[in-house]
Amino acid sequence: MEIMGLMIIVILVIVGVLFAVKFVVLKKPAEVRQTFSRTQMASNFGLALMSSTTADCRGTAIKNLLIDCAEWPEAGGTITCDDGRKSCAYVNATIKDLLNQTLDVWKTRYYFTAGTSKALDAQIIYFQNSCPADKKLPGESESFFLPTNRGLLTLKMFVCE
Amino acid sequence: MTKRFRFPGRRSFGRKAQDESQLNWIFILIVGAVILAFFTFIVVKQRAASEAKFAGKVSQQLNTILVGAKVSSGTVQDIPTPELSIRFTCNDYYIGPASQRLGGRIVFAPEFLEGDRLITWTMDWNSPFKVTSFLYLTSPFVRYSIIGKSLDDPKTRNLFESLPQKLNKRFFSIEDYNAGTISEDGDKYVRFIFVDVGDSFNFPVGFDKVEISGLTVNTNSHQLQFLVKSSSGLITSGPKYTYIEPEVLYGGVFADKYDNYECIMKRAYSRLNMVSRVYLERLNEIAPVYDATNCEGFYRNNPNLDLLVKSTVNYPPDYPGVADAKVALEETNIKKLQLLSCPLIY
Amino acid sequence: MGETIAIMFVFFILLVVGAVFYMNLQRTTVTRDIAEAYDLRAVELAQTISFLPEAQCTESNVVKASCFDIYKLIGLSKVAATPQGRDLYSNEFGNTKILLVKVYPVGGEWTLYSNPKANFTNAPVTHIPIALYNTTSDKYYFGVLEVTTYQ
Repeated sequence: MEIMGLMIIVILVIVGVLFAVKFVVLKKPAEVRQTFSRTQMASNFGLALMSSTTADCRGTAIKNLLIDCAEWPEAGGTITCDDGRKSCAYVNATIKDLLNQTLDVWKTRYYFTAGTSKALDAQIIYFQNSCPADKKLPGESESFFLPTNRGLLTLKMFVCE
Repeated sequence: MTKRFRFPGRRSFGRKAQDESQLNWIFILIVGAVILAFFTFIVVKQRAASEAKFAGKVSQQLNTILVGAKVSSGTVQDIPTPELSIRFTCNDYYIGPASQRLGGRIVFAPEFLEGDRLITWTMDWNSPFKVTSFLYLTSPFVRYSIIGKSLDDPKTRNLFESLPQKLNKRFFSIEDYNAGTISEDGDKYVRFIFVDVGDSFNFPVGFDKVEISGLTVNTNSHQLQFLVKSSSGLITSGPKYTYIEPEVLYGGVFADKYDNYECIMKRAYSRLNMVSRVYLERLNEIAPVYDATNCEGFYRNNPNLDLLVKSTVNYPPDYPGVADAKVALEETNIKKLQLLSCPLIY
Repeated sequence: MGETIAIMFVFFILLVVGAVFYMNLQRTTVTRDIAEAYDLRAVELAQTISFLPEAQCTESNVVKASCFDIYKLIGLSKVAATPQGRDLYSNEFGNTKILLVKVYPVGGEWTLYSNPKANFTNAPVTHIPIALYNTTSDKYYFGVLEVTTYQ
């Protein structure tokens, strides 16, 4: 009979310990800074990118090169930059370079798309780092819209968790 | 009697058992008392610890709210909180045993804020460029009674209407105040703001059990002075402070201690001095680019910015100097630089 | 009596084991809370710095989002290095380092404020992309604000 009592006590103690381990030790710490960083990264990257002026493309803003590229994707854009590249090629290379120097260096997983339609293969810009756009992954995103004669050009920056 | 002789060993056995049982009870009592004392000790300590932890958590969350409010200028927020008592000083605020530093933030609040709701109001302080954001804090349990010469007095009405709608505020005339027709309405704390109606006031009738304080504002000389409760009524406390912008006046409305207000304004003007110096340096940096152009003469060692820097080196600042520099900078920025298509100062 | 003492002995042993376990749990919670508080502080700092009036781009006193004025940054780095500047900003930023890097076109770096802690245990860096505006050429560059919080 006493053994039964002892067993109940032991079971209660084990249950208590398991609860404590589950809710205190294994509780995921709140990632305040990481979440803030992702949100800021997504929104500020787009804003800073769009307003940036090109170094060697007649001082045109990246935003205008993107619009030109979205309006004339078949021709690769109508604006010819100083080195002979058209707007699509220039803006692709510039964004790739920017991503390489920033998010890739910080080992941030992301995807960046720009296009007038939702289809992934119709995007004029698509870069990603271990975070493909066709997979639904958790993270923070920010979209920016630019008017073109082919509809709204949507820029999307998604930073994966 | 017979029993005693028939079972001689039983008596001694019974006494032994009785003794042991008594000993057992004493042992149980002692151990029980020790265990009870131990758990009482644990409960008391845990309670104190969890109260401190709660205060720490709340003060941390309040800090996040204050940072958020600071960057969202022009907004009024009514934030529900747990039942709190917060003490504000110039540099810190305290919730129970927990404290947080305000750092460089400019927060105007009554010294003690109690209740389960907080009202935050953020305003940019422009002089003439943005210097910082002022954060005003109060609770719906603090009532602001604005008292003017009459209910039609435009300056008093203007002050009353510029304060957020969410504030627990009322508008009265000085006749109402003197006649004792103002009632306390169950508020814990009432702050009387007298606009252009003198410097000392009778004790408000019916406010004996309510915490009261006041502020007297002179809109002609642009000065304000704090009022405290005394046996004779509301009397002035501390020096007269000059205000140039309405945001500074609101600071006096929300802060209820003159020394807190002075310390906060000292920090604000020291920020103005720093920001002006940054602008002065900026203009000196861009000046060479505009030599021999239409824009020449506006940037290098800009005299108005220089005046602003010099006027704000010490506290109290040279108010006429600040006001003159402000007007001149506004004029240069809007009327001259914009017309000439030159880069603006701010 | 002996039985009672034995039970008490077992009881106290269980109590001690429980207390030790509880203490360890508390230590874990406190360590995590401290880390969270540091994280919050880093976020608050990054937010405060992003909205510094002495660095933000303005046009007729209207602030442009996510943009710093290069000439203001030059002025700020000079003023922040003066004794009064150090005094004011150390009250605001504490043990941090604020660096601005011009990424595109490449070149340019401004240390706005630097006050590292002597024996820091950790120094997480928060990166915030930001537009940098050049008043004289009326051009915008792509920059990154690096906020290092010393713990």
